[in-house]
Amino acid sequence: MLPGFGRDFGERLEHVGKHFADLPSSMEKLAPDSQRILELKRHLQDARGVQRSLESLSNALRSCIPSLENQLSAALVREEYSKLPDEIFAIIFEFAGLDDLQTTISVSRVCRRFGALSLSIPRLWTTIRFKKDLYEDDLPIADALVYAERSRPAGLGLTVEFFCPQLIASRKIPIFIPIDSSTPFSNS
Amino acid sequence: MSTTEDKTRKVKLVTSDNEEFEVDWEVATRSVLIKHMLEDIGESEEQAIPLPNVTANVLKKVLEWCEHHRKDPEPAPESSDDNRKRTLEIGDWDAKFIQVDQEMLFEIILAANYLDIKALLDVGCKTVANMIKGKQPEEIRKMFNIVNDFTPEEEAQIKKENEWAEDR
Repeated sequence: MLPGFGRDFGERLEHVGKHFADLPSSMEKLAPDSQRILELKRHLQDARGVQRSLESLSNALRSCIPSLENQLSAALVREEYSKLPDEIFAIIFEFAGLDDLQTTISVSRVCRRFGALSLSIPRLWTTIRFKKDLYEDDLPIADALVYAERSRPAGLGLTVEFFCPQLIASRKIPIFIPIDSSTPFSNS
Repeated sequence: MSTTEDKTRKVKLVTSDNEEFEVDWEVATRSVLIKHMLEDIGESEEQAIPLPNVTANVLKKVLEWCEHHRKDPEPAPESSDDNRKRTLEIGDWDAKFIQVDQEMLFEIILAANYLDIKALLDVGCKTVANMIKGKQPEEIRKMFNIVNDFTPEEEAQIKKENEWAEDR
């Protein structure tokens, strides 16, 4: 079937509807009964046949429409997403990454475009949180310094949070000197 | 330029699909782009402002926002850009306003960017930011229908680089 047939088909269905709506009153006039019985049987057969088809049509539409809608919105989103310029994604990433390095890392791992873009925004990399129980003996200060490097051009505070106070207490963490004296350095 | 006269002045805007909107000066000039265009054409002109990057259904929505925010204080100058991004909160009215499908959400963001309406751009961007927040890369890809174009090697490298900092 060619797309675009829906409107004509709908009109024909409306005619069919009108036909069945008028049918009972037109049957009442028919005589004799023998002829009436014959006609009634034929029309009932029609009505039941149409009803069966409509039910299966209605079922098919019920599952078809949401599925088409989903595909349409996915395609639209895909098209819209590629239209959004980097400058807008940069704003979005900054909001999403507010005090949330986890989200920033997720964003940077989505695709090349997001990766390159998020790495180009130093402000995203200004809060460093160490994973709680992973590093029993050594905290990967060198890795953290990679982030420090990414954040440096922001000229903003670099906050490093340690979740392993026992390591700080036992002085297993090398002394980490902030790049400038105004840089906040919090242990928690 | 913002004389008392301006408050009663009407501004005509024409969308890309050739629909004309007539709005109050105060409403139209929530858009810095329109404000500058009005300044350029001068006050006496009754000229309609063409907006070739905005369709009527999007402009209608944007103007609804401008109408509600017509009395808001002037947008802060560029220099306070740093302060502007410090919260993810969206006001109640704005939150309701931005409850639209993703297509319209993106259209509003693009229009706000083009029309230079910072506060509306922020509302849109915060909404998308809230959708992204706390999501895994795969979930974000699904949301935007993005194809993962990293090679497996690159992916392993990035994962390794970030591993120590991740909570999960």
